[in-house]
Amino acid sequence: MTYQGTLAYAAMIKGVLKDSKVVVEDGEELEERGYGRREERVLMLSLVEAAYLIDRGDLEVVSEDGATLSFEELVRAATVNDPSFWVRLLVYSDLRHRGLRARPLESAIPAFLVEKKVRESEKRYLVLCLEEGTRVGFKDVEAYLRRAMEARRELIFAIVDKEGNISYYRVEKVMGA
Amino acid sequence: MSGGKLRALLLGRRVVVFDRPRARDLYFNEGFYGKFFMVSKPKTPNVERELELSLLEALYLAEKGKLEVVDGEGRPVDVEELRRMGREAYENFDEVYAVYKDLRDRGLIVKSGMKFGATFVVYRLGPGLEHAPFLVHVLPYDSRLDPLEIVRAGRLSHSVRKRFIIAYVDPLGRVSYLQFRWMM
Repeated sequence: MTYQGTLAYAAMIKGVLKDSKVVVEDGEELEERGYGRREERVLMLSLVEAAYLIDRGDLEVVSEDGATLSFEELVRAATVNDPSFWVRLLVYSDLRHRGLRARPLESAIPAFLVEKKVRESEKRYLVLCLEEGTRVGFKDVEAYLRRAMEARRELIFAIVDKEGNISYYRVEKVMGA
Repeated sequence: MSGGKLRALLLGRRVVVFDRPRARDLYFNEGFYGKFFMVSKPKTPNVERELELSLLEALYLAEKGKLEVVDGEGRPVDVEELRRMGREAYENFDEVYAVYKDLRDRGLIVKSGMKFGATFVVYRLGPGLEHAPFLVHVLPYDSRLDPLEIVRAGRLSHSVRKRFIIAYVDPLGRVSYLQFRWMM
């Protein structure tokens, strides 16, 4: 897999930035590839998805007055409301780059619903980002585990270090307790 | 076992069984309790040495009514006194003991994991009898995990080829075990 746009020679898909979302009119293909959320006739992309797609050259995002936003401009705008935007984007891009389907969750801690195809079946994960230097209490870990279990997913911590390197660790309760 | 309750002597904060046949029995037949004086890894059950018990082991055996600890004057040291001493000698003693007891009550063999960088190393059969013991590291419930510790746990388990489990005791006294496995 490369970061080269897969749609480089097709007409660029266009989206409009509206209230922290990017609205795409003709989003069928993106939807099929696991991007965005369908809302009636349009596809709503989160800013993380939009930034990733701009970077891949698969999407052009324009503001409501029609001006095209560069990758940098979108990232800068998104960070105003969400200081952890870059970390979200890092982990999201890494998951996608590994060939996994990832959907951003709207949550205080950056998190993603991730699916991995394994032959006929599918592995389902809840991926939570933890940044080096920020600690997590056992109570929180238990809450995440419960949440993952209720969604029938395995809990994964994406640990992001000071340079932006990511390691993934599966978290599970063992010994039947 | 013969001759009534097993007796151990309290020396400062260390507990030692001087009766060598009973010491041997406690180690080899009762679940690998203690460590023989000057013998690090006994291979065959013919050791003729004193057996030192940890305060955790002494308390556990005393609670089970299998051990009587006496001080230098021959006065019995009861379980509450052992517990008090444990709290003085060992930070976080109550939580560490709760985990120790939980694992022992499951029939597992629980030994010091110091050499592996964990609180306990846990065997199903016993030291020297199996290659896949696991490590249990006890952390206070309110300690808040540093992501670095999660990575360290994962790396350590890989390098010593042992499952590494973090244990904690919640405010209701329930013992929980978390495992972190490197994925990618």
